[in-house]
Amino acid sequence: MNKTTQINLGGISFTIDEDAFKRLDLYLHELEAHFEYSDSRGEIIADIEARLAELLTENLRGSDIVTIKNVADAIKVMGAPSDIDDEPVTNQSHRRSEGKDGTWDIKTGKRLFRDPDDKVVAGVCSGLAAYFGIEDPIWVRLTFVLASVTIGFGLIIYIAAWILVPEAKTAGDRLAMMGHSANAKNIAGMIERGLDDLSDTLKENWESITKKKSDDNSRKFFMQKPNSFGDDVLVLRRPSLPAKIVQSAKRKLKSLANRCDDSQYV
Amino acid sequence: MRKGILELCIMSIIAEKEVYPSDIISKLKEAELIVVEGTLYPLLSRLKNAGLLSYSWRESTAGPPRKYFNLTTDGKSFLAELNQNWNRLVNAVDTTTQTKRDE
Repeated sequence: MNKTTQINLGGISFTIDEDAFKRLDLYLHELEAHFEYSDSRGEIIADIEARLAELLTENLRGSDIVTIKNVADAIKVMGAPSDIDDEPVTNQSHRRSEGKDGTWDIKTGKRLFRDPDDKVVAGVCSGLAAYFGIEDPIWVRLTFVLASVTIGFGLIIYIAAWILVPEAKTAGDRLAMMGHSANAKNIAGMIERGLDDLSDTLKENWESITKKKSDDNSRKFFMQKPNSFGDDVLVLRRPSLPAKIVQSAKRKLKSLANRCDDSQYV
Repeated sequence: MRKGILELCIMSIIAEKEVYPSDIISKLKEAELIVVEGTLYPLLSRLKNAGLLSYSWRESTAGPPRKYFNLTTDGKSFLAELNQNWNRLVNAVDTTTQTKRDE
């Protein structure tokens, strides 16, 4: 069973499955992002929508409802945004100049952020380290400290950077900080690493908690009647629980990233 | 290298008769010149913005009105220029490969 929606695509009305609608919607948004800097974005998208409508009508062959397969086929014919190459001469220069003015855009694709995950004061040094590809931010920190003590400029520069450089708040920011593009696969990879960390912390803490409890219980077990044994078993079984949750979350993420790859959204 | 050629082919198709994008697509696909259809639309809009193409809306028997493209005067002279360049290129390649074969 699937919920359906009514849409108007390129002047043609379609009844479309909800999952198919989501896919189509995502594709059109991707296209919009792809042509973000093109002056004729609206026109190009409208043309593509009209053609998609035509392709869907051909694919339907008399059937009433557009399925996800129809949509996937039409998108395959039209091509992923990255395959649609346009060389907008005016637009690329526009893009570059905007990068220079508004953001800290650099040729490597990296962007300067403050790293909130690895900070001593405000994450300026670790952000700089990520930006210049220095593995350990300690060297940048040392430089700043030395510069503060010897010439006195370091502190001022640090405070200026604190004010001027934005903090990496979203997953996309963090990827841009490391010089990766924010596509589904990279984001999934980052979440996966985060989950690994989470699982490690949980495991450590869980072990210490349960160890304490089972110590208590075993003391009770020896001191009291053996009916407390049941509790003990329950407590001992628990450590596998967070690992299981993490495992299943990871599987779901992976399949999501793969699906994105298959449909060439990435 | 593909870049100018695709433009040349699209403009030649349009020069023959007024067409709408799907006609162009079927011809280009026949000739295996494009892989994904999406490539065509930014290209058409670029040519149009450069003043080489213009379009008009036409009612169609099946579905909504369609955009029919034709060449402007500028477009015609540009196409003639492209054709000239193309012929020169073909000649150049022919001559060089010919001499190789003769040797």
